[in-house]
Amino acid sequence: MTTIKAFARVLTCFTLAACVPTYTLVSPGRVAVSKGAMVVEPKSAWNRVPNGPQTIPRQENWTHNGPLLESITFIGGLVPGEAIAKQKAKDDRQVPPFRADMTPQDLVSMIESYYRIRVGAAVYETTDVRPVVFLGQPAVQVDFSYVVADEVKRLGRSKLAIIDGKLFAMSLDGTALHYFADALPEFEEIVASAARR
Amino acid sequence: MAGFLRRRDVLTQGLCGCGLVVAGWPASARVNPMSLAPLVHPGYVPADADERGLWQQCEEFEYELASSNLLLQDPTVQSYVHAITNRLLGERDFGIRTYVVRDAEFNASMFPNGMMLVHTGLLARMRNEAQLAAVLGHECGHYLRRHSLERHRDLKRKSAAAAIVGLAAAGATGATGSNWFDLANSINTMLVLSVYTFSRGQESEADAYGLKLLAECGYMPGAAAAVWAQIIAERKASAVARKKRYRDHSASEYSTHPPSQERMEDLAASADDIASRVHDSREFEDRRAEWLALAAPIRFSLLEEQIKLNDPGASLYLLESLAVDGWTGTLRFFEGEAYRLRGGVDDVARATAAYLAAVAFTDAPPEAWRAHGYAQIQSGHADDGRRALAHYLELKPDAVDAAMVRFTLVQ
Amino acid sequence: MNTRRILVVAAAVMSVTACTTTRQVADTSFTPPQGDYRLIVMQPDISVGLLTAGGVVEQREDWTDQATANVLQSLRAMHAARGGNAMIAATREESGWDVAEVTDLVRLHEAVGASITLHKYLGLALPTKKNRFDWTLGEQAVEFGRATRFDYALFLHAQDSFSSAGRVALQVAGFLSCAVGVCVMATGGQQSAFASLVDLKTGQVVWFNTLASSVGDIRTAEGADKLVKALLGDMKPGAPVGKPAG
Repeated sequence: MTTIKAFARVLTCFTLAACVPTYTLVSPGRVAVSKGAMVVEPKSAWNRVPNGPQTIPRQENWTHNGPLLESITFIGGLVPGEAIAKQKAKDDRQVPPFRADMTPQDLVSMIESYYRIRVGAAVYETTDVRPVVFLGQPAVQVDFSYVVADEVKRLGRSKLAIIDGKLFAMSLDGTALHYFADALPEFEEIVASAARR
Repeated sequence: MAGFLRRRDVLTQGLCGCGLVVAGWPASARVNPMSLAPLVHPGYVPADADERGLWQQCEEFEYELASSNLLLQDPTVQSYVHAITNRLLGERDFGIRTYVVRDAEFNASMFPNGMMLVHTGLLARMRNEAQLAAVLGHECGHYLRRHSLERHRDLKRKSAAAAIVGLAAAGATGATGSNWFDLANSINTMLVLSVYTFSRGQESEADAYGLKLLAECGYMPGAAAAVWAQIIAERKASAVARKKRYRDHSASEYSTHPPSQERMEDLAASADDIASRVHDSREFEDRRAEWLALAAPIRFSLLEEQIKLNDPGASLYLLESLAVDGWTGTLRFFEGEAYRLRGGVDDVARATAAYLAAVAFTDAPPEAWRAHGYAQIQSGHADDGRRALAHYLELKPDAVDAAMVRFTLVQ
Repeated sequence: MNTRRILVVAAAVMSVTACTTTRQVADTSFTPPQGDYRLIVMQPDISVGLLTAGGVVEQREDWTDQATANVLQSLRAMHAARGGNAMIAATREESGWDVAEVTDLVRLHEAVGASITLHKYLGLALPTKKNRFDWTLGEQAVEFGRATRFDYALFLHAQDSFSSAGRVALQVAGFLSCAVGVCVMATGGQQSAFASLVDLKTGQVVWFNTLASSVGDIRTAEGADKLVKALLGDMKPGAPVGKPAG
C-alpha cells in the first residue's frame, strides 16, 4: 500500500543525497516476508520496495514496474492496538488501529480509512466483499477502486485474516488500465502459496 | 423562484439605489461593503503579459479539471452551485465557472480567470443555502477585486522561492496533501500560492464584498459569520478530541483557514449594520428548505467522506451541528460510525446505541441495519443481530458485501 | 508527484554543463519508425516562461504559442522526411477516439512516464529491469491503434524558460524546494523536454528520451528545429545493456 506521497519522500531522500534507497531483488522461490511472519513462493522475480519513514515495520512491498503502477503489500502479525499505518496519537485523522474482534465490516472500513487518509483517495469505492480462505483460515477479501490527485483510476484487492488475535494481510494495488489485471493472477498464486511461520 | 428574484430586486434598490449605506457607515477600519465596486467587467480579457500567461495556465488546468475523475458526478448539484453564484452576481454575467470537486476538506477557491472550485467538504458543512452563498460570495469578491493577480504580482516582487519552500515543507508534513491541488501545483506553483495566500486586507475586502452580494440577493447577511463560527468550533472540537491545543494551522495546509477574531467581529458588525438599514429584516432568507432538498440525495456520501477520515472530534461536531435541525436515520448511523472508527473505551456501547437509534427512523439507510446487526451480534444478541443483517440484505440484495453478510448469517 | 515535476528534477540532475544533453532508453527489439507509418502526437505540452527574480517561471502566452507552433512544425517536417505521417492532436478531442478512454490512456501514460523516469533516470533502479525496458500502456493502447489506424503514439513535453536578472542567489533555494516536492529550477534559462514513443501494435513504450539544455530558444524556428532534432532526430535501436544509450 504505497502512496504517491511516500514516493515523493523517497525522491526527496535521493535528491538530498542523504540516503539512496535501493530496490532489492526478490528471486522466484520460497521467501520470507514481513520480518519472517509469512513465507510465500512467487513464480517470477519481484523488486522489494525500500521501506520509507511511512512504512510500518511489519510491512513489506513488492513491485514489478514501479509502485506508481502496481504493488503487493504484505503485513504479517499485526498485534491489537497497532495500525496498518504509521501515525502519531495527535494526528487529527487516524486509521483505526487493529483489534482482534474486528468484524468484516470493521476490516473493510479500516482499508477505506487507510486509503482516504494516507493515500489521499478523494474518490474511494468498495466494490466487493466476500469470504475467502487465506493462510488456511477464514478471511475477508475486499475489492475496491480509488482515485488520487494524479487522476489515474486504480484498483485494489486485500485479503485479511485474523489468526490467533493477529492480523495477516496481503494486498494488490494497481492501475485500472493494465497493471492491476496483469498482476492479479500472480498475486493470487502468491496468496495461495502463503504460509505462516 | 419568481418571488425570490423579485425580493432581490427590491433589496438591490433598497441597498444600492438609495445609497443608504454609503452615508453613515461607522467610522472604523472596517471595509464598507457597499463602497466596493468590481474591478473586472463582464467579458473581461487580460491585456498584460503576466496576466495572460496566468490565464493560459488556468485554462490548461480547467481543461484537465473539466474531465477530472475527482469532479462530483452530479449535474443537479453542479448546476445548483452555479445558479447560486449567478444569482449572487445579478444580471451582469461575469463568466464565473464553478466546479464541485470531491474533497472532504472544507474549502472553496477562486482562480484568476474566474474558475471556482468548491469542495464537497464545504457542502457537507452547510446548513442552509445562505451559508453556501456566503462562501461563494466571498470567493466572487476575490475575483471581482482581482486579488489573485494582485497577489501574484506581490509575490513576484518578493522572494517567492522562500514562500514556496515553506508551503511545500508544510504540505509534506501533512498526512494527505494529495488532491487536485497537486495538479494545479504541477502546472504552476505560483498560481497556487496566488490563490491560497491572500493578504489579510484582501480577505477583509472579500468578506465585505461577499456580504454585499449576500444582502443584495436577499440572503441573511449573518450567514457569513455563522459559517466561520461553525468551522472554528469544529476545529476546536477536533483538537480537543486529540488532546491538543487548537491552532488555526492545525488543520491541513490546503484547508481554508478561519478568519481572525478581528475579521469575525467585522463580519458580524457589518452584517448587523446591513440588517438594521433594511426596514423589514424578515425579508432576508436563509433558504434552508431549498438547501435540504438539494442535499438530501448526496448527504450520505458527503458524510461518508468526512466520517471515514476518522477525525472524531470534527465528525461528531459536524453531526451534532446538522442535527440541530433534527436527527435523521442517516445522521444517527454516521454518529455510530464515528464512534466505531474512534474505537475508544466506551465507544462500542455508544456506537451500538447510535445504530439502534438509527434503525428506529424510517429513513435509516440500509447500511445502518448492517452496522446494527454486527453491533448486536458483538454485544451478545446474536438473534437480533442476524435479523438485522437479514433485513439489510432484503433492503439491498445487490450490496457489494452481500456474500460476506450471508456468510456471517450462516455461521 | 507528476511526470512533469519529476522530469524537471531529472533534467536538473542531467544538466551539469552549458550544452544539450539527452539520454535515451529503448526496448531491445526497438527499431526507429521508417517508411509509411502513421504517428499521432498526443496532446503535446509545450510551454515557455520567464524565470522571475522571485524564483518561479511565469508562463508567457505569446512565447508559448509561438514555441508550440514552431515545435509542431519541426516535428511534422521531420516525420515527412522519414516517409511517415504525423498527426498532431492538440487536445484529446482531436485524437479521433472516445474522449474518456483517450483521457484514461493519457493519464496512465503520465504514471508510466513518471515510473520510467524514477526507475531509469533517477537512480531508483528496479533489479528485475536491469537489462530491460518493457513498460507498456497495455491493451487499451492497442485498441486505440486498431480503431484509429495509427502505428505509433508520441507523447511530448517541453518547457523552456528565460531568466530575468538576479537569479543566481536563488539557485540553492530552488533546488532545495525541488527536494521537498515543489520544483523551482533556478539554473537560468533552461530547456527540459521528454518524449515517449508507444508502439500501438503492442502497447509497449518502445523508446523514451529526456533532454536538458541551457542553449537554444524554441521561440524561434531554428531553436525549435534544434530541440526536435536533439530529442527525436536520432532514435537509437535498443541496446541490451544496463546503461541507457545516448
